[in-house]
Amino acid sequence: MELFTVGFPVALTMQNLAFCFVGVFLGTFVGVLPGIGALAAISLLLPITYYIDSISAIVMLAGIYYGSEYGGSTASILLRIPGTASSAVTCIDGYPMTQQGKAALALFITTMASFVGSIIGILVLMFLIPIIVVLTMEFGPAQYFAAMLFGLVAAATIGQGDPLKSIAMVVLGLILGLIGADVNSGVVRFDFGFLSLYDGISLVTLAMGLFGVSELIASVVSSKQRASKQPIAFRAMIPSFDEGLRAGKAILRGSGLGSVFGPLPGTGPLMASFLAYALEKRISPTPERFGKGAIEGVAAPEAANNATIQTAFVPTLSLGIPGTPTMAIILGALMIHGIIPGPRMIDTHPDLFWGLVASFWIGNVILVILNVPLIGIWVRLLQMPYRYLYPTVVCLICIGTYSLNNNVFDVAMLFVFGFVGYGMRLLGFEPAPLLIGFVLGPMIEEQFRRAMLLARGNVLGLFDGPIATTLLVMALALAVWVLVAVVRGTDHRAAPTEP
Amino acid sequence: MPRLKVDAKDAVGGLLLALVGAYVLSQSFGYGLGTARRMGAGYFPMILGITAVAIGSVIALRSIGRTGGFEPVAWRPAVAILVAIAVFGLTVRHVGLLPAVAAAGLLACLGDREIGAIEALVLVAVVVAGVWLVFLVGLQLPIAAVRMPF
Repeated sequence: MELFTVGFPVALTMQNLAFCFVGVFLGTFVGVLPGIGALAAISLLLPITYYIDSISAIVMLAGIYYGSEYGGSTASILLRIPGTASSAVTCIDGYPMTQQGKAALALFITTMASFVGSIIGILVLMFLIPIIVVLTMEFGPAQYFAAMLFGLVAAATIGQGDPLKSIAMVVLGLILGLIGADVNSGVVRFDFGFLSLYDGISLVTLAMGLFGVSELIASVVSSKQRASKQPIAFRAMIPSFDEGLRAGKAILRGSGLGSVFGPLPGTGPLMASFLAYALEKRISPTPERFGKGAIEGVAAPEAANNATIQTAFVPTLSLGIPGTPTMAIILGALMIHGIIPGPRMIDTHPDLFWGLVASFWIGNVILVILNVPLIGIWVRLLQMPYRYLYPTVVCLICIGTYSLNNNVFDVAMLFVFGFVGYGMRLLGFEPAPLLIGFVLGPMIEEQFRRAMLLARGNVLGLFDGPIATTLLVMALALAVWVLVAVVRGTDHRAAPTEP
Repeated sequence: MPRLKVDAKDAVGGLLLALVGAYVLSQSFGYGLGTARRMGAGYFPMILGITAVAIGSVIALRSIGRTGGFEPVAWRPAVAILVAIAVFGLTVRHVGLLPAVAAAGLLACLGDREIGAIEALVLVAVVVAGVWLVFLVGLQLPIAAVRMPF
């Protein structure tokens, strides 16, 4: 097994170990802090990698990437502000757990979930690469379109409020995704004359504005009632047997789901964590617990997003297709070092590939060792009186947004989305499905276009083969379910209480 | 005539969505629709526009006969934080990163009634120092630390 003959010897050199450590530590730090994410950190460190050995560089950048998925849930749980965009789902049940005094437990479970998710993801990466490559090659436009449509409709059913309003948010997200130059025709859509919108709205800015800023605004007032000190003793972290069992199963399901979605380009940890959450809610015998601190709602998404992140390296390394923007940067880093990722890479650069995979193992072990004791520190960090914390976070969000492109326009967008995000909150619309619609928008349009081209304009041509048909049928079934609930007025989730 | 019950939130929200959808729809014709087989740049926007109008209308119509009001608006933090961001954006190019961060931080602090002047100043000083250390010294961001605006 090349992993042991080539990989570990490469990964265990002092230099590579050091860079791995730096990467995962920075990644966790950056993941914990709302306002700066892996994308920003990796972009900022990219120039530095020019001067170091390519394997060390990629090991470090990768470490930041999967390390951030460990830290991202910390702020989600403690403050209901996602540290990373993909930890948004963890807010839903993580924050109520904090409100119930179970913050330490939630943090411990998410660390464990992240670890198991990563390990399972790495195993999948290692052993199923040939099979996965074949699978994704079977995916034509009709299959991608069906998968994405299903993902969108499923995303709407996770919204805590009204499914109808959540679908509305998905559509709004799709609309926002229209802004910018259309890849196919070159026509610039909805740019209102701003050159900076040529490439569309930046995802980071959108996420920070919609989630971060609006949450900050709302929390300044509500944080007065926040329970201040919580026991972060080691004992407080250990789950009860029942909780542990439920969490464990959720972790396994989430990891499996994440491992399936990671290799598919265009889907990412955000979507996987959403779907893992939806799955848990759907198969649970007691779905009403969700949104109020169900441990599965925290364990599954975190396992899923880590599994996705690890397996996301599959298409990048094996096909040269980056599945997420951050992967694209890592791809760029590889190319800068003269390495062309693709099917040949495993053969031409086995030391890089296997060294990287070995570093994943090492990195995740470091993370678990780091994070369990550090949970106390992260918690203390985020538990400072809110009035000290939120101005700091505001500043960090501003800097993080500005530093993406040194463009004031990005800050202006942050302002706009902060305003819109808070407005949406007041109107009772959930922002999370909007983000999914936004990310998938351009891609789903592209796949729709191609599928229709192949189907010669015939909509029925979308039902091409078992995969596409199943997914489309499921999507339609969900949509119909929502419509029926609306017509009947049986939206028990939206029913307001009479004063 | 009995007073008509309306869920204000949904009415406003649905209406806004429908308006956005109508706008998108109206613009989509200008981008070229094409056919189903060869879509123009306006085809997908058209579909989205129609969907948004439809859903927005349903939400707005559904709000009739339901009760529901707005949750209280947190004016002070909202204005403080948004103004802080705006000021940062407007000044960072002219005065440099550190003064812009300081201004944003101070304005953000105003959002909380309970913070004292000294507390705020100390906090902002710490944040500015931290920012300088981490972003300018550590990460070497290519942003001017301080700049003379004149």
